[in-house]
Amino acid sequence: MTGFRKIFLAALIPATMFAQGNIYKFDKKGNYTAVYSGYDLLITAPAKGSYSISSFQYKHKPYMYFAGLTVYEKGVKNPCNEKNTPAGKCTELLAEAKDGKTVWKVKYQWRNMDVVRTIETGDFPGFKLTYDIEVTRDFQPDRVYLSFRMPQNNLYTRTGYFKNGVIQFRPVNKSEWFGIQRSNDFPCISFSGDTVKDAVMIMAGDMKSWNMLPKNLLYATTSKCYWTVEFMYRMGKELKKGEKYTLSAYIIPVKSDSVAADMQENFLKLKERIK
Amino acid sequence: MKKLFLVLILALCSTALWAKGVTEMHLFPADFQRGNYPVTANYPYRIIVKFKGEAWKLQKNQAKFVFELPSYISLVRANTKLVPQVNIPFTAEKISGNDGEITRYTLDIPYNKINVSPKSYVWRSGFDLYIEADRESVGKSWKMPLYFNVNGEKLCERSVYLSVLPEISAERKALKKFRFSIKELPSAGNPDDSLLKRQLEMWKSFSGRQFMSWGWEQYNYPENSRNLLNEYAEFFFYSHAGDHSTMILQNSGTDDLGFYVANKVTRPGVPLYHDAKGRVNPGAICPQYLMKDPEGLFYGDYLRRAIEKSKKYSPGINSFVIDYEPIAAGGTCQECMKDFASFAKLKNVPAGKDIRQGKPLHRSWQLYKIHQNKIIMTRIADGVKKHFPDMKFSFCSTELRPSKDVVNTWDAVDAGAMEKKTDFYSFMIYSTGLTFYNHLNYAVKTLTTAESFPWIDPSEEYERFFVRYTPEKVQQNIVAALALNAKGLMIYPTDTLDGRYMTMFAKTCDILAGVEDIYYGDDLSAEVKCRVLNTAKLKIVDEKGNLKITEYPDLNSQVKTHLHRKNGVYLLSILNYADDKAVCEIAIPGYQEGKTTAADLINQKNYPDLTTENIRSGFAVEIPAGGCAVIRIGGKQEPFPAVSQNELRDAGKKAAETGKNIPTGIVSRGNAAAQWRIFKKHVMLTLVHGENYITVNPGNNGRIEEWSVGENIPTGRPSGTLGEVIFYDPAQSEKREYSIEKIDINGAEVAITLKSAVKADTNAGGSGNPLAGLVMEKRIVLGIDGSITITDTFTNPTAKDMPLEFRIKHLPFSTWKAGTAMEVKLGSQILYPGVYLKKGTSLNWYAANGAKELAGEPCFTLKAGTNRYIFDFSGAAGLYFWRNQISHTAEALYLPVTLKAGEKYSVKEKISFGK
Repeated sequence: MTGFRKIFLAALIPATMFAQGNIYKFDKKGNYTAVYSGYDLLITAPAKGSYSISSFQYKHKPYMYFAGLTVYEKGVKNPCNEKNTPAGKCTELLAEAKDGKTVWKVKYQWRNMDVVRTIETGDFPGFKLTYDIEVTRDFQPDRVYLSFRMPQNNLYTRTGYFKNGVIQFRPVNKSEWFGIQRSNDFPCISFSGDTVKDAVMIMAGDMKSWNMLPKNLLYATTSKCYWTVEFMYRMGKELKKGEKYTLSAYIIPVKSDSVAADMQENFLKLKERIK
Repeated sequence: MKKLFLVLILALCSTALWAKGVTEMHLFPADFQRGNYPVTANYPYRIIVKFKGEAWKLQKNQAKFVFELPSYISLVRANTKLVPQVNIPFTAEKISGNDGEITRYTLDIPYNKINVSPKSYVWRSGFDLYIEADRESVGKSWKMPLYFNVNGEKLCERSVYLSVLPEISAERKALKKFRFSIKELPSAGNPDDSLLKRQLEMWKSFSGRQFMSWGWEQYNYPENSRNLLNEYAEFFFYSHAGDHSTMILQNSGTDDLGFYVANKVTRPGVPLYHDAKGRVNPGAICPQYLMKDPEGLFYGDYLRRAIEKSKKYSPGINSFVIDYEPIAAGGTCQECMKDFASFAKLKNVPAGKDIRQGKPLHRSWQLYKIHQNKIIMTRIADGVKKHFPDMKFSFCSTELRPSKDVVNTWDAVDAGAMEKKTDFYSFMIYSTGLTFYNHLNYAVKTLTTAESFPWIDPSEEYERFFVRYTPEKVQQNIVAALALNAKGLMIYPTDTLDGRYMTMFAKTCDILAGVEDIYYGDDLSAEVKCRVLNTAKLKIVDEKGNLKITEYPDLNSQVKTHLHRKNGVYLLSILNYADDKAVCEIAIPGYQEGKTTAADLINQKNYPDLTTENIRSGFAVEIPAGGCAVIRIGGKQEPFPAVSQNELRDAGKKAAETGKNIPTGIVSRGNAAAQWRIFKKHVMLTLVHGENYITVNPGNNGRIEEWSVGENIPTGRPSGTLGEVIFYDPAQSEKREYSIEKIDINGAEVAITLKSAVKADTNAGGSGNPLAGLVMEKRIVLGIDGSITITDTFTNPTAKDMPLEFRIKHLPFSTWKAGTAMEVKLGSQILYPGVYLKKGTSLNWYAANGAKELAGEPCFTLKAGTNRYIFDFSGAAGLYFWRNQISHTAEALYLPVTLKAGEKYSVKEKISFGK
């Protein structure tokens, strides 16, 4: 973790330590923007940092640190993503917090597309992250992916997924990139560890975009823990002006010592919504 | 040194026996029933004495056969088996002893009239004893010693435990329309027809006129027997085409045609059948000839004259039944291969080895054989109808299957495709329980014009079949067949069944005869609702992510209900195929009648004071585990004890709440998890370790029904199983329930421990279950590498010694699913299907006869394509492999152990998977 991030999170703690379970609000301080929703908290960079997500927390404990969309165009070196979006190309459309729900919409104008990112909370644990894409200019994408980065001090040492309806665990082996079979019947994965109580589950926000993913999801580990999972969407054909796409996911806090049961419970709660 | 000494002793004993002329004896059916043979008073029962030996030596040594009976049981007759039978002379010597007066019978066997071989129990092996207990001897029992006496030396000494059950009452009703029949009565081959008459009277009292087979042997029956049979029975013409497709019409007065003369085809120019290995069968005809019948004789004169002859001997014959069971792998002569090549549009004519299982052409070959069998079966059926248009025609085949599944079968017979040619099917549904029910139900529901007349084989002289039946299970089969509107039920092959069976036949037929007309009234089975009350509701996620409400234990799927009505009287037939008692709520929404009592005629219980509303909305009944109920609602009052509705419902609720360990979803720790799920439509527990898992079925022998290693599923659907303990004793139940004692997912070892106990017998008298009370613990460890280690521990908590003899069966995969040839190797040695025993060991188990020597420790590899299964059965004394078109087993054989009071005995096996 970078020094800045440590200080950033350290500064955050005094502000959040008094957050209550019934607080639903947006908090835009100078250095960050926070979405409070009960015990859930999402931190992003400020507008000048294009609101890129930097922390998901539950009861002040971070369980995921980064999620974001990246689009590479063929033949173009620099990608488009939230972090790289200059101020002025990023507009807040809606920030609403009431009745136990929050909705936060931010629009990014990228080179070839307009992207509306929606962060929602509500009658489900964690956050729903949605990217609505409208292509504004014909272009050939090279890679389009959602990245999910784990806080490395959390030491998530295993990933959980379902194969044939059975929970499976893959422990960290070494520093490597690899693929794990993606399940269509249980569109979710988890990261947890033996020394951490808090864990995270990522679930499809909608089945259409889940089915745009390849047969195997792409993961990376360090020698000690899980580092990232990349949802690499199969968008290899030329995209035409006017085409629209939605990519979404749920990011949900779970417990390491009941991760399989939590995954199943959350999946059952949300499965009808994602059809 | 000790081993060598034992080997020497065994060899000497065998040599000594061999020198005397007899080495082994088998008593049917007593040997398959732990030596027990209950008989009912005042009725003759048959014991078949089979033995291995050399007739000339026995004759030379003047070997006698000796047995002893008490004063209240006598030998009615001893006779040879080949027709015409010869009565065996005997002396009866009265002896007084501690057990009172005993008669020692000494038989002077005419060995030149007995079929005997030193190597096996050949066809019609040995001789018959018919014994009968006096009317006054009910409740008594006797340990009957039997042995060969060779020059004063007792050989093959054995005992049969006889017990006398109450006489079967003559005051009974007989079924009129439902044809509950016995295929053959062997006593008919004897010049003395007195015994035959008594048997025919008995079977007539069950179900009126019997429907019996007329085959080649019946021509040789004495005339008086034939006349008696014609009086009591309607015969059907019976032919068979086993292994090959050749309809055999033996002893039919057609030797001049040369199609079957002294077990050979003698007609010039008729090509012979080649089996799967290309060997010529001199008694069978090439399928090409059978398809074409180029001379017009085979289905012409040959068939016509055969039937005509039978009608001369039994004018009432008006049905033709052919047992059609060819082996699809056979018929491989050059002409057949050419025809196959043409059918499959192949460029070249393949060799016989190219069509074997696992080869690319295998499926096409199966399709070709289905096509070929259809042609031959059509020729047979058309031939019969051409000569005798009014004759009923029946195919006797394996059970009816969907046409699309026939390609996977060993016989490639699509019986259903022949429905237009068939008046009724004689399906060989040689099973009990849900297997029997489901096969018969499928046949009855699927066929539109042909009737179903199932056969079962509780008196089959092969242990593999015999052990499938008990009197209770056969009772279920009878009730199921009637409730499903089958034409009848055939008992194959003979009436060599003990007094428990005969008592059950008498009781069941009497009950069913009293309500038979209701079964032929309105079938309202689709309207009746049945819900088992003594189960707990569970929410479990299935493998598609759907939340299912299911029950545990799974009883509803094992209870089948039928409802019939006639003249305002309703009849419920309920079959409980579960190992637990079922408390059921039955609702008949359309019930029209008033307040009444429901009487369970089988279990003799009344459910009194049921109002119309009770019956429409639901009333409770109970059915014993593995039993059935026939409940008449309305009609005459029965003097049965009453059962309270409240008590039943309370009992059901209590059982649901406190019964077995109720599953609780999914639990995980670290890289391990225990997950309850629905697999193969049953609730099972899956144990996970990393990216490997096994699915265990506690309700069925605690066996593993699924095994996944990484991306592979080495064992799974449709019928893969691992780790089943099976006792050699055929009288032990093949299925037992385990409970889960412990699940370990916290530490380094991921494991499950299950426990079961052997139940005591419920039969009165006889030798009880010697393993009653035996505690069986099974611990299954799943390694992080996907390997499985199974430890079975047996504990004797009783005060008696227990004889422990068992094997552990694994059916790792389906050969068909494997889609490729398999090879089992121990070191460099290929092990083919069969039994292999370590040098110097032997087992008291039928399949171990003729075992080959196992060269090395029982650690071997089974290869199926790129999959490798590595088995480590280090503690075993031998191995057993069995296969057919679908399955291939790998089984560890263990030597017998005497488990003393309080002792434990464990065996451990490891199975790994690799590519």
